Amino acid sequence: MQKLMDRDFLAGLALFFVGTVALAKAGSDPMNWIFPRLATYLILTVAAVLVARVVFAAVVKHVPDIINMNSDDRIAFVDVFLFLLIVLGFFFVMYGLGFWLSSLLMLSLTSIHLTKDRTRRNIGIALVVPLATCVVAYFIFMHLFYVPVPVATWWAGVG
Amino acid sequence: MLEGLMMALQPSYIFWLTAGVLMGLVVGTLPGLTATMGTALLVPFTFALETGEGLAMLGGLYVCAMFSDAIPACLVNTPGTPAAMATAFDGHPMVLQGRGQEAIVAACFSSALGTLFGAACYLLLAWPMMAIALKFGPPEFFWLGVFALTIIGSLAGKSILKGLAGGAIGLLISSIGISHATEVARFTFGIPELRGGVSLVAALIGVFAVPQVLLMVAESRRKEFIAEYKPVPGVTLKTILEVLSNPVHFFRSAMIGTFIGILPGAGSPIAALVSYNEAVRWSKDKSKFGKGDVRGVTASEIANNAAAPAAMIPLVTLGVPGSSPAAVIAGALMLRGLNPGPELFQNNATLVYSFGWSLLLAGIITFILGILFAPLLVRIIQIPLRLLAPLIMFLAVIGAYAIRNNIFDVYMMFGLGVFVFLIRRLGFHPGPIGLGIILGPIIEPALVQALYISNASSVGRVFFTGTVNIILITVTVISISLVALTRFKDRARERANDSLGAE
Repeated sequence: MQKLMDRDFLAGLALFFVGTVALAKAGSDPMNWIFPRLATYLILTVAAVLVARVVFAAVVKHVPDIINMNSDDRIAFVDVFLFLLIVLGFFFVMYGLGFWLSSLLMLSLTSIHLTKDRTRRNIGIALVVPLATCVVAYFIFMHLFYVPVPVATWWAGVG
Repeated sequence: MLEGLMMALQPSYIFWLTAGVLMGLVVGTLPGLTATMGTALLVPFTFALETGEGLAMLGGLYVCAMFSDAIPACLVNTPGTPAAMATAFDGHPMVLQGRGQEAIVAACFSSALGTLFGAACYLLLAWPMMAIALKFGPPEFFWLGVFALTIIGSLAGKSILKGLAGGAIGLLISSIGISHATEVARFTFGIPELRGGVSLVAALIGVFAVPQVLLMVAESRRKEFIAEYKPVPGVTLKTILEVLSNPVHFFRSAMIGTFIGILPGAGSPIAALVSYNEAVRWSKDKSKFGKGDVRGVTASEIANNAAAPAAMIPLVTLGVPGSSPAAVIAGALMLRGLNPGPELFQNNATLVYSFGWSLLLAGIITFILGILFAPLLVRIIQIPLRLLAPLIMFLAVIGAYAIRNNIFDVYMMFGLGVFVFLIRRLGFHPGPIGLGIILGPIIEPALVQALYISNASSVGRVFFTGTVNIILITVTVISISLVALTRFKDRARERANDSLGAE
């Protein structure tokens, strides 16, 4: 099991980052900035308290709340990472390939990626369900709610 | 009023009302499609109908969407519309415990009850309620928003500090874009698309749906489905009786929903959040909330559905819509040459009352359809995670895109979702972030307007005087004190248990 870092300490650092970026971008005019500034100060205060609490816990030798990562977590992390990559790819090709092809690709690839038992039947399901999803989504969004779904620009006509 | 009832009971009215309810079922269930969008898209269709039929159809869609948004909220922890955010807090844990059908039936029945209450107020108490609502100015709205923020105490999970920080992050996200005061661009980082602000719905899809999908992906090797589902005979009747067995809870949630519904700009999301907060506050066993307590679902659903007909009260009495779908309905009336407001009440009373009766009937039809479809709908959780996770992500992307037909909303939704997924590992709960995003657009304009008013007198006088202000400040302080007290007691109990365990 791999030990990473104290949960509160990491949370404090993340909040410091968010608070500092917000503070750096905030203006001084009170009417425009009072609200975001108040929120930012709250974030920075919580960050300071969380970090101070970790330091205090270390001084009094309190058991820290460490984030661990075991082999299962690592596999899950890789699964999530690959899933995100496919979805990001979907955003990239959506306007190039158009709604149908890009959606089918994204849905099929992610479904196959998440299928542990890759039998012919399961792969078949991972291809048929995305097709049905695309057909239903196309009719609901395009014809019922008039959402103009992306049209292919790389291969004109494949919309 | 009886003429209005006879009008609403005509077969053609019932037909179009049912058609609107069915559309509402689709609109609410799909994340990204809101009741506002649904009613706006339906307006052109209603031109072919009589005014009353068209209004019935629009009202039916609005009412049903306020129920059906609870379906994805409960089943996949993704609110169909912002109004169902509070429903997910207990609805999803119920599903995880194998009580999916109970959650859907409870949501459906409470939605129907809420609608009936709101519609009854519309028919009987429109004018007296409006007199109270008119006492709400910017300082009152500010305190109402602050009061709603105290729900963080119920949502924060183990760490109230992280809950507060999450709420502040949500408020910060809501402040992106052109400011309300002098139109200064804030936190746009040179990106022109951010000047228009963050789409509320896209942001909420990002906060709730995307982390949930990523969680499903992470768990897909360990479990096949979200949760097991075994149909329980008699669960529908049992749940209905359980909801009916708590009349105090019902009246409190319905009154909160109706009152917040008539406040222009507040709407169903705030009503549901405040009602949930009050349900927790008045409960003897607060620890059950957030862990699958049916009262969490009913509090939220009664209030958000009571707020839907109530939002029509300021529209027909003053000509001021109480919510975005009400604004669309106002537009539909104007396009027909009818001016919403006192004039409409005087000249077309039958139409106004038939609309009220249609809203009431919409609640009944929603209940019938919901109960019929509940056993089918709950089977969504039997879709294997390997298929469900991509499906929800796909709907989230298309839903976020559909709001403004803008791909930037999709990027924003995705980025926010990944951020929330990561900080969940650090102990942050998505609830307070969503809460901040919803309440920011209410609190900030109210704060700025109240500050402008205070330039003419004093801050103390504007914010801390007036009956409504004092009531809201008092309940806010009580709410915060109770949260602190409960946390203190819980911690003391934990310490006592730890020391007993050590011995």
